[in-house]
Amino acid sequence: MEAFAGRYTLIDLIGTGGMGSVWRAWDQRRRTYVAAKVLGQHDAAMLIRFVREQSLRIQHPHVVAPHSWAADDDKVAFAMDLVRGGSVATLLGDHGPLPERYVAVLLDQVLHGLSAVHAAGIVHRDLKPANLLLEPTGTHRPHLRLSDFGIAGLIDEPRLTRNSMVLGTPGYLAPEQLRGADPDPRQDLYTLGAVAAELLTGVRPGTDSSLPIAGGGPLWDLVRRLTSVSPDDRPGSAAAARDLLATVGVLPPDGATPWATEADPPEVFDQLPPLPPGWGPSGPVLRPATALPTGVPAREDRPRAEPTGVPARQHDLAPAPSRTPREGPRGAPIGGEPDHRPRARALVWMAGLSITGAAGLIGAAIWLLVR
Amino acid sequence: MSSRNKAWFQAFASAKMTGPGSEEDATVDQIAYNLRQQIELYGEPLGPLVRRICDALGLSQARLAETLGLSAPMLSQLMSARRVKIGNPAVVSRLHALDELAARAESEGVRPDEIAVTLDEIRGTSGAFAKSAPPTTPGRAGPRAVVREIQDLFRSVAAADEVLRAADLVAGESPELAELMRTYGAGRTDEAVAHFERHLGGSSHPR
Repeated sequence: MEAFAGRYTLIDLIGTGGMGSVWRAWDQRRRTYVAAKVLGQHDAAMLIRFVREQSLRIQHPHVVAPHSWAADDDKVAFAMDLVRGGSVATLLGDHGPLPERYVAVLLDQVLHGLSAVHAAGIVHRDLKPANLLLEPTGTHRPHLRLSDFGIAGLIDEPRLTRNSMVLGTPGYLAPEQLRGADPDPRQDLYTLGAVAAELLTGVRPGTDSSLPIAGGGPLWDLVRRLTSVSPDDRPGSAAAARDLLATVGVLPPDGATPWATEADPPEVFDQLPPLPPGWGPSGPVLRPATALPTGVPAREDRPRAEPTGVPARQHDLAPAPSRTPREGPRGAPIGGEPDHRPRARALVWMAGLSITGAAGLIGAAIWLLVR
Repeated sequence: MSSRNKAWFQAFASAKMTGPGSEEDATVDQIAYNLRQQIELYGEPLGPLVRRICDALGLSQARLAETLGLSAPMLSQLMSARRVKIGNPAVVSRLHALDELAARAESEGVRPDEIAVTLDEIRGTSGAFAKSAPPTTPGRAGPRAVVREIQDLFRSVAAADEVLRAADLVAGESPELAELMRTYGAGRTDEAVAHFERHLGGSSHPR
């Protein structure tokens, strides 16, 4: 299998979106599984800028931002953490309307992540359920992560091209965003209010921007404030909205899962299919029967000599040295050439060296004794 | 790909049967209780119901899950009665529609192309969540953005005073056209938006 831009081996398709496709991929340099979003060069421009700019490196438990990218002839792949539990859209499909307290936890986590995103000077602008990913937590407390910054915009930066296309998902957009307003964090708060209404009712906002605002009670009051037509009537920031949510009284304390005792509680499954043959939990695997005793790896596991296509501008922000779960035994060089050597081979070398060393020691000991 | 999907589905099913995550709730008694609950809710346990639909329509379980708007692991849990209830009412109505189609296919036979069309219809029925959420699509901008583009167009072709002189020339022949040129080529944005909405107000409103 040819590695994309000599770096990412695309394994299987795990999602398609309006722009590009998302693959489970093996990052040869970091030696870890990643989610690789593959876009055409045209669509990628914004994301490249996103990844490149210093201020856009958002490290937050509730955010999945691309951490590196690589370009091939006509496509760009962005690598990010692989999140296995599907999205809030999957959850809605499986369960329909969700319990109020569960929704409160999800909202709290979105707002937490949004605070970090906004603090970095970014407006997400497309916070629909499919872009709110979930870790597979079963019936425990959910762990949500904001993703897909494909059409994110910079605060305080008028759009360079004033064109009449509005990006975003119909039904979830703030009225002023629909009219082509410049990015403003409060647009994300409106969208989150629309998502909250959908989570509580199971009804998607209409493409005519009608919202399924249906209930009473303090959480609904917050949803109404978030979805105020005028941005000035919304909470001033994600942090302010989070404070409001905390006063509503439906947010369970840390670690509590009040929904778990009810019948048919919400459950977030591992949505990724098993890895295809040739791939194991820690990466490409040897063919068991054909691996030679000398440790020469099967052909497929050898690195492709040199990527054949036009290589490949690569860019790695946040080098993440020690986060890589399994480095080679002797520690792969970081930031230099990618260490393509299969681990099995390194292990054999290790064993060989140890045996030689041990033999040497024993020899020395015997020599000392005999002398 | 379909065999891959099948393998995926079976892997989920078997993982849930024997996997470490199921130790608490997978007692025989609990499953028996869940099966009775499913009979009350759906007339029969979901496992046989789903398998019957799949056989009659020639669908893999993964494909059926996708048509229902359920995730594959959720369908697997329901079929093995690890979970009892389909929470999403839209999924229940799609399941009923599929059951009808399957019954029709068994009794009188339905052509494969007709099955495919009906499946698409069922998938699209209300509240289709899951992976079929509407894509991030461009929508129509409001009048103000459109007006600004028209103004930009004028300004890229001629300066304001040139537009005004040209407007004077055509005013005798066509006052409306002259007004159009003055408004967009030399006027204020608010006036141009008002003009735009006067003429195209109904149809230009964002969908």
